[in-house]
Amino acid sequence: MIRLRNLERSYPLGHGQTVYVLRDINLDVTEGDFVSVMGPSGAGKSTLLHILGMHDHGWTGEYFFDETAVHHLKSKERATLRNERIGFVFQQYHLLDDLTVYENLDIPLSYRRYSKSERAALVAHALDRFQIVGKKDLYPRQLSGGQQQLIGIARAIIASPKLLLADEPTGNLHSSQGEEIMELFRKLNAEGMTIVQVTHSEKNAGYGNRIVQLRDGWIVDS
Amino acid sequence: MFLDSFRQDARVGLRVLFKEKSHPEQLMSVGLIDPQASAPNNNFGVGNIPSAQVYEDLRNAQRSFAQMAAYLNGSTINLSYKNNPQRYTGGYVTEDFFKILGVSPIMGRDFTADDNKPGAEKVTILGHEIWQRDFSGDRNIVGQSVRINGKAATVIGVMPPNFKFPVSEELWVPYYNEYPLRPRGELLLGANNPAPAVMGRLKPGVSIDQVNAEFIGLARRLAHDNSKTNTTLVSASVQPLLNAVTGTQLRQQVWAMLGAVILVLLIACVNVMNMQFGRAALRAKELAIRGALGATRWRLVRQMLTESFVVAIFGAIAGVMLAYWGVDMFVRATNSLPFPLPYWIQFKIDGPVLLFTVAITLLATVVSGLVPALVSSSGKTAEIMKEGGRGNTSRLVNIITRVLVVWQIALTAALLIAATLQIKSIRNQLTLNYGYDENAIYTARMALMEGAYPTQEARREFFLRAVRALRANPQFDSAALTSRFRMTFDGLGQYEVDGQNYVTDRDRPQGNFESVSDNYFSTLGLKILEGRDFSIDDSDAKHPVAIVNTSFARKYFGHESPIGRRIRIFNPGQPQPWRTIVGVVPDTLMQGPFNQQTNTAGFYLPLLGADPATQFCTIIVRPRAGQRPDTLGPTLSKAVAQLDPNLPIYFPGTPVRLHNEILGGNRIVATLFGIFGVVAFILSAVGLYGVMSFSVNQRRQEFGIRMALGADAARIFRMVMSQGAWQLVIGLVLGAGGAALLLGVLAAAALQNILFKVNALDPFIYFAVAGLLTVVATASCFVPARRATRVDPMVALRYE
Repeated sequence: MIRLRNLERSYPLGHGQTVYVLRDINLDVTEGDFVSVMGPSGAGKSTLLHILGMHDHGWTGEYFFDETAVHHLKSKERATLRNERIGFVFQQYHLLDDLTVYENLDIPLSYRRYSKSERAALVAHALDRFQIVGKKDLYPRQLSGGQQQLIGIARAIIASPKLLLADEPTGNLHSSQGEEIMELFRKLNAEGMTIVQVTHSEKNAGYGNRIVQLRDGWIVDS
Repeated sequence: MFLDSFRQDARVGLRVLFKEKSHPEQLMSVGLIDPQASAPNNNFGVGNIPSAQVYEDLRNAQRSFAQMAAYLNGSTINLSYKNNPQRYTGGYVTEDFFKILGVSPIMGRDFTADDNKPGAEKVTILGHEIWQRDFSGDRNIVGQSVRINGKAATVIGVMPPNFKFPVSEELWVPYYNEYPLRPRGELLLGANNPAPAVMGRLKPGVSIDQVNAEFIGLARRLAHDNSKTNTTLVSASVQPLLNAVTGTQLRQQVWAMLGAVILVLLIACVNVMNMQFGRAALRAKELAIRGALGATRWRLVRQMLTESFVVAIFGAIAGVMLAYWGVDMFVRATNSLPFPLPYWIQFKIDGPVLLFTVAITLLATVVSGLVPALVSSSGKTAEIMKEGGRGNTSRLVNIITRVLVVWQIALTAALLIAATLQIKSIRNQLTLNYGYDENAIYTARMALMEGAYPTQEARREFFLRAVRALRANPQFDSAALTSRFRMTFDGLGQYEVDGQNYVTDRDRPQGNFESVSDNYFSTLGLKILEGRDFSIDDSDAKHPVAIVNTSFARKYFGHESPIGRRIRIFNPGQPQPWRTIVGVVPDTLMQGPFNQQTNTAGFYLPLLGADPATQFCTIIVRPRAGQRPDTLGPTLSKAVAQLDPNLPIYFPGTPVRLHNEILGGNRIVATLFGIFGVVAFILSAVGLYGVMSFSVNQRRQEFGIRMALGADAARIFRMVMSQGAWQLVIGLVLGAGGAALLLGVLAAAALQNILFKVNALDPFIYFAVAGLLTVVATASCFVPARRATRVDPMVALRYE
């Protein structure tokens, strides 16, 4: 599903100097994988995730997504591809404060070509699937961290992406909530969803079937 | 200390406000009124005193006033000193005039009852300014001989410096000595009617209600006794002179300006508040850390207020400097007006006003800072620190700032609409078509006073000599005379058309009339459309005639010829002769730029054969081909001096110049409103930009999330723009609705006097203002909206 070849990401420091965040990354992720990217702070984990999620365009090398050469795509084409195939889960949940649970779930659909009735059906299905129907009219601030992350995950998969990217999805949750979220990820993966997560937790990494270790921008183990 | 001084100012202010009640013995303006009609004001106050004889009747009968005085102000007084004739603006006053005011001459003596008698030796009291300027401050001026209005006179006194009561008088002459009392019922028209203004000083213990009651009774009695002159004047108005001199229109205009200033202040406050909200939001985390380290809420509020205070002080210093400069500019502008403002209107920045303004500015700034300070200091420390400064506070701040922008747009819209209406009104006045080429002729005013021209024959003879001499002058192509004052104002009154039925006095139509010599129309460049021009033989005594304008002819005679039909001026006190219409001429703007009656019907009377012969008239000359009219001043002065070396001419200039001078005051008002509008406009644009910019910064993360979830740049752009659009629409609806309600409904009657040929609900103006604000709002939102589309989701999602 994903093939990275010689991928590098750097930032200019000024005076002709450059700092590398990712170096010569070669990585394959097959459909149905549940990959955990680990490493110390500053290793480049989140950067790798944002490149996979096509938010970051300043890299060099080759990136194939389902045999599509992302490195040859224009920004708009990448956005289209991302919208169709990829969902995101964030450490800080990143729900929109001014919108209800229902409206937060509806956002990704509103940016895609769904009719109003299709959107309503998909949101209703998500609410039902995640057992949060009773919370549909609440605002994020009225929910616990675990509930917010649950909404974050529901929002990420509502448009049926093939790949779910998660950046420290349990980083802001206490352990029992974290376990629930990881169980959910396992379940999604079992249903066929490909997942790449960034985590510091060995335990959470254990939910996946594969661990990629990053150090100073290099893959040291995969 | 500040509070002490504020309390003191407030006490002084209140004392001034309630001075009327605690000091009933004060100056009053007196006028008789027709309760059924909107009677024209006299010089000061409401109502009329139709003649000096009526004043004497009132004075003798009344018991409320300790003293009363009648006066004519702003009058022409020709004074010759050492063979140098000069025209001054002065007052004809009865003997108690200065005594009522409690002011005495600094040199010489006051007027006595004997000075005021007809036939007494003429005397005058000089104003300090002309004594210094034209009499070289001669310490021996008292007792010196001069000639006043052609008669030998003696200077008997000099008034103190800066005394020009009631308006801008330069000298004073006894009233009845110049204008002897005329028998009851003899009512003169126009400039020849010396209808006085009357003031009095109340006896101690007499209230305003009591004096009004007494004078209403007197008015009824006079109306009963003098059915010809006082029929309709069955009521009276006695009001404090202070209220009277600051007339309704002035008060309305000052209120309008104060309203505009308050709107600008509110807009500025909203701006400051928004900026403070912006700053507070950016510093939410800093405040939260300070709170976590032990700062109390009051300590945090105080810190923010201190910052506001420092900003306010710098703003106030800049504002005061700007105010001094502005007042200086304003004084220069008002000093150049043809009609000087009353001497008691002085534009200067005095201590209390300065203190008040600075206090208001500081207060407004501090209050503007207080709300943001309170809101931002109320945030829950833990949440703010945890969420990187984007807690509940920013949500509340977002709502408040958006609401503030809506109000800012609303206030600006209202102010711009009011300013545009005012500017359009004044522009209408400035671009009037008077019906003739105002640049093609030259005019000057002259006054034949009774001393030099005691009889009507003498005046007629002079006018005839004058037109003949001016027409013979090789510099002039043609010359004529008119009663029109500064080519702007002239007669306005009721008239009758023969054959029409009038049930009551009030049924007679009101119209414009002007006394002109022969060749007046050709000198103006107008053609006689039907019939003939006046001739020098046309005489009211032999065969009264009139010429009507096209509107008049069409209104009363349709397609029939008006020639041979009859009209007359309506004057119940002294019936006027029927006049046969002998000609029809094109319409000119007989109302001048100040009267917005749509009825343009008017007629002309022969000036040379007028009975009684006028004292005041305007000379009009048209230059020979190739000469510029505005260069004719010296030639005309010389020509008049050859006719009478003691006769000064004044108010010289082309009509376009005279009109521009007369409208100078309006131009100042228009400029001020323009400045208010521009300031409000700029403040709003800056405010809108600031808030949108702030809002985009606040929502960086939201945009990042939305982009991460699939929103493209165009969608984000539309989102920001539509937020601005909603604020704009709500603001415009509130502002335009408020303006329409206020201008078109609540203050509609008052605005009829202020707005010249402008509909207060003119949709074009409302749409133009809406369009302008839309452009500004679009521009103000565009840059932040573009910035929002450039948010890097990766950065925004990590942004804390």
